Amino acid sequence: MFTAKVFQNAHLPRGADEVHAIVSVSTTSETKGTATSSGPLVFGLMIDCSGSMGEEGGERLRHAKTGVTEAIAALRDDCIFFVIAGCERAELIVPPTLALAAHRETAREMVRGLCAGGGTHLSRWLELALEQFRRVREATPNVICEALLLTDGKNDRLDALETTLAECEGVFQCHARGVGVDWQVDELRRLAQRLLGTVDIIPEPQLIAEDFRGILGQALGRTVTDVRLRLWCPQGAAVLFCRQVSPELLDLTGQSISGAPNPQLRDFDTGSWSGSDTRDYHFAIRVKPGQLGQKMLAGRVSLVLGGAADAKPLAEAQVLAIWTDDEERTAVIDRTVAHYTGQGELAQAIQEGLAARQSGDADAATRKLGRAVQLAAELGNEGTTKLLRRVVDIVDEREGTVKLRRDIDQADAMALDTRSTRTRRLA
Amino acid sequence: MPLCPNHHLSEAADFCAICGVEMSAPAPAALAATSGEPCPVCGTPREAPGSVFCEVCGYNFAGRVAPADAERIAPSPPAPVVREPDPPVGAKVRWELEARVLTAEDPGAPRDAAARLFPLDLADHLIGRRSPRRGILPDIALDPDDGISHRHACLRRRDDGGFDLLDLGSANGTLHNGKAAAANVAIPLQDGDRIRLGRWTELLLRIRHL
Repeated sequence: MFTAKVFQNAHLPRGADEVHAIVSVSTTSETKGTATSSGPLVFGLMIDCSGSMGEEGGERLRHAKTGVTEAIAALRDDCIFFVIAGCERAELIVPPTLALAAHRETAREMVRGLCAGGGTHLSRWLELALEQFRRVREATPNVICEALLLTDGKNDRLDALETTLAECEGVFQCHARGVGVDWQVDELRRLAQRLLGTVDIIPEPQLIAEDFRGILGQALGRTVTDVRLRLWCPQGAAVLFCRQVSPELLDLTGQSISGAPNPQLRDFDTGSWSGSDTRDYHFAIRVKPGQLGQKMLAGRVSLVLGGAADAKPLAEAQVLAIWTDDEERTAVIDRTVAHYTGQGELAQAIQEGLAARQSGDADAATRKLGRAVQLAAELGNEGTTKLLRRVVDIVDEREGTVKLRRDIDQADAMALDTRSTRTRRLA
Repeated sequence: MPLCPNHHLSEAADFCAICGVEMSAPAPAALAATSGEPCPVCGTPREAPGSVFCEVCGYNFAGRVAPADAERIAPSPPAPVVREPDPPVGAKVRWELEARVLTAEDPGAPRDAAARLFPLDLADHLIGRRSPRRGILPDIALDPDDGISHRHACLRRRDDGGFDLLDLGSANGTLHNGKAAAANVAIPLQDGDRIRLGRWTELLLRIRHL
């Protein structure tokens, strides 16, 4: 069962036109077995088999193989899985198969035989995965499609990625993992954001299996798929942005699904949900200012299954605007809105700070990372502070005074970068 | 389907499905009235519901005290709205309306008011009482008679050049030659017809042959 709750200060001063609200969407386990629940899980594994995976005694590839076989072992009997070995080409090692014991055994043999060699061309891997998901969907609609991509290097061919991602959008979700430190955070982050997945670093190869278990555990918990966030706005209103702000920052603004049934509606894909999910969304809408005393619906947020015009909302929340002269009411910023605005600023400060450090601008890096330290302390992001400490020496947390560390481990900087989009929820 | 205060048809009952305005909210004009009552001395709307003094003349809203020079700043009459007369349909005749005060009807009627003459040269004439704050400036303004609604009735030219009378759902009604006119029903008018409205006003319709 879905529920939606709004956090906002609806009171606006005269002439104000920007409405901000956090809509918190939660599911409870009743989702299971109800009419909304979806079919079985289809899980695709894309494993980097480029030359670098076999270097240093082939440790990365060995652990990746263990990760894959363990993941396959953890699947339920009704799940469907496939494995793609990727280099500059993509090879379908295990075609989509039902996860029966005998099939798992065959798959394990196939994976064991993998060897490293060649480059990295991510869009080829994704295209092949897309083909498999489409085939399965044709045969069994309503399946939950998730994938996992593991790489240790950066994409050789940049040109095709954007178009491939656009094709994959809405067909499957994909989590991206980078092992080691030779991959590009920006690239995998973009991939994961477009395909509604998570991104993370696996600094040491022996941690691969554990990370895969986590992803699979989450994927197995999904019970309902193709959930869309439908935003209604008054005529003439502009959506300044629509962001998922928890559990991870994810800008959905440009990702509205085309072909909404009515120009006042915008649909955003949210992928699949488990029975105990909570996700928060931040909406900023510009409306025509109303008269003093007027109350207006600035947005109606609903959750629907599929994109039908008359889809019955699973949950609904109203974003209001009330214009008043009462300054005591208009001056207050809602606690939740303020918290997530801060979380966004924190992520930006970290990413910009690390980019400045990369380009050799130590002044800008110190300033930005100092601000990040300050924000993390204010917002109570203890995990982020811990990661920041590996990159900077904190002189004064309150003031944001820091010194850049000289001996920064590249893995630590990358971990800070990839995890910058993870937000903390308000208690 | 219900109409929202901005006149959109809306399926939703709580907020308008087009503009988002609350369906039960008063119309914009009425809303403006609640946000600033007019100053009783100069007519300027009160700035904010809580403001103590009138921004223009200094009237004390809280204590209801008029400024010392209240007489000097009496409300100025609204500027007359100049409209181009419509081309007369039959150039030979002119319709006129004479407004008279029936002093015998009401002791409060002004004793020495002269009859006023209104040429009927528009396609549509609003009869009523002025309300600059609500933006109602009738073509035939019968101001001192407060028994007349702001938008009381209208005289509408027919295609044949004659006129119809329509009562616009006025509070106290309209009599046409002694008979009550139903609201929003067109009554064809003839030379010499008498229209009674308000506390003491009578309108006499005349056709002048040129």
